[in-house]
Amino acid sequence: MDRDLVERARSGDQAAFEDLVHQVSDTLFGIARRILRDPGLAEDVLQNALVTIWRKLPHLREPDRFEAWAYRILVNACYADAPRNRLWASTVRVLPVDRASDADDFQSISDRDELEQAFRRLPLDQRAVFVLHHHAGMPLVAVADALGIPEGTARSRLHYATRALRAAFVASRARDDLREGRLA
Amino acid sequence: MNDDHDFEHATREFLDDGADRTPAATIDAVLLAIRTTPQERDLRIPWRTAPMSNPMRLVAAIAVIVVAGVAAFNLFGPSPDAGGVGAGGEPSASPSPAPTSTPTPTAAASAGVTVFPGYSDQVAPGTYLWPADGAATPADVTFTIPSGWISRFGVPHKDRDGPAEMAFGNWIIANVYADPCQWQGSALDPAVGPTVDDLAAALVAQKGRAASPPTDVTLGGYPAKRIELSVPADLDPATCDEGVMRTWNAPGDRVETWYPEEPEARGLRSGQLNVAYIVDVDGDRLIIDTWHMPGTSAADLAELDAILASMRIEP
Repeated sequence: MDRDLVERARSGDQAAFEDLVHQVSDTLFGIARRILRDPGLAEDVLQNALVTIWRKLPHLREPDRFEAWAYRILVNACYADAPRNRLWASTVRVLPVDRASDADDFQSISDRDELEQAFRRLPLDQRAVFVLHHHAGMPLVAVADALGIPEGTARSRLHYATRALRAAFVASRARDDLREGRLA
Repeated sequence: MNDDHDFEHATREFLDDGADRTPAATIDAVLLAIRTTPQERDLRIPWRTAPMSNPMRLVAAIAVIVVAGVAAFNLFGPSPDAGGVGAGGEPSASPSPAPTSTPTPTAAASAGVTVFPGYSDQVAPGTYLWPADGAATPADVTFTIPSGWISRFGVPHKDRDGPAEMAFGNWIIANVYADPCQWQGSALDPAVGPTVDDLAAALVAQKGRAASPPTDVTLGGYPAKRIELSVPADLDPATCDEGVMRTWNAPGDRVETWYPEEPEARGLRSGQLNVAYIVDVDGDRLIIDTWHMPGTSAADLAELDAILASMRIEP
């Protein structure tokens, strides 16, 4: 992240902030979309988060901490702006029909659907840790720092999220194997 | 089948699914918004490096008082919300929808009452709204809270995680677990019936939680059943399924859960005392669930009762 860009935006330079938005928006959108599982909602959350970042930039004492600071604002916006009933909006998956389907394709789609359902059952705070760690590639200490929580809490949330997803995945595979007669 | 490898592969595909390109319209909206959105001031008092004369000391003292006053306004004034824009940090100062001095762009709700923020470290005193959404409440619910409350996930808390914690939330309950600790496989089948009495009976019958007999009350202008429920003080969460205790679930499997190692995320604590109000809103069922700890003072409980007394439910 360009420190000078952050400092100029912090001083009220709207052109600098525009450059900053172009640099970070895709990353932030990707995180919001994965946490919320709703692209439309993620757009709203991202918009709110970016305006909040603009408003509160003067409070950022260390420009080098911009990314972690922005992640926290984004995750808080996910918590604040996601009405409960929208967390379970269904996502219609368009299946490709112009290529030959085989067992691996069906298994892959089945796995993703199972993980999608299991992920949607996770609380938002577990989803946030899971996405920041596994998608954004942040070490748990950095995730904890970004979210303002103890490292042990971040580790615990990741543990519960992973365990729930794995249990759903294994149970789904067992059901698939049973249907296909692969289990004794 | 190598479960670990397959799970990691499937998880990677799941997370990589979809495009991350921010829609241009979203960026345009942000850039348009910042043109009329002022940045917040960061008040810093510089260190004094040279000796000051008496008149200068007086001027400096006056400046400190003025700056401290502005800082106090910024900290404790009408817009304390730390998280998101338009998250409802601007309450109406009275039951009538009078605008505040610094209106929040997206705070307006159906009756002009501010939607309760989803996340805030300092909710300003005033009247707030939980809007009808079909997931947590079938009707608009307004309530008035004094100072000292925060919000986590749209639930008002006071002294969160402390010995005197208290909070209240709203639920539409789809089903109940017969055993909140060994909850896997214990969801009632068939699911709990749709009436207030059905739910009251199911909660009273829950294993491992002491429940009072339901009593008839009025909440928000509607008839309700009041039930007291407790979480055993000696409950060992490690003995519960997945290390969590689950009381009920809502449409879409939103659950009330307790993560004992994660106070930020939990819903129930050892020794916690719940008072659930099961409200009949013209045939729709709404649950207002309050909870407090043994250390919550009588004064705080009276404050919670006053909040409940201020509630209005509007289908």
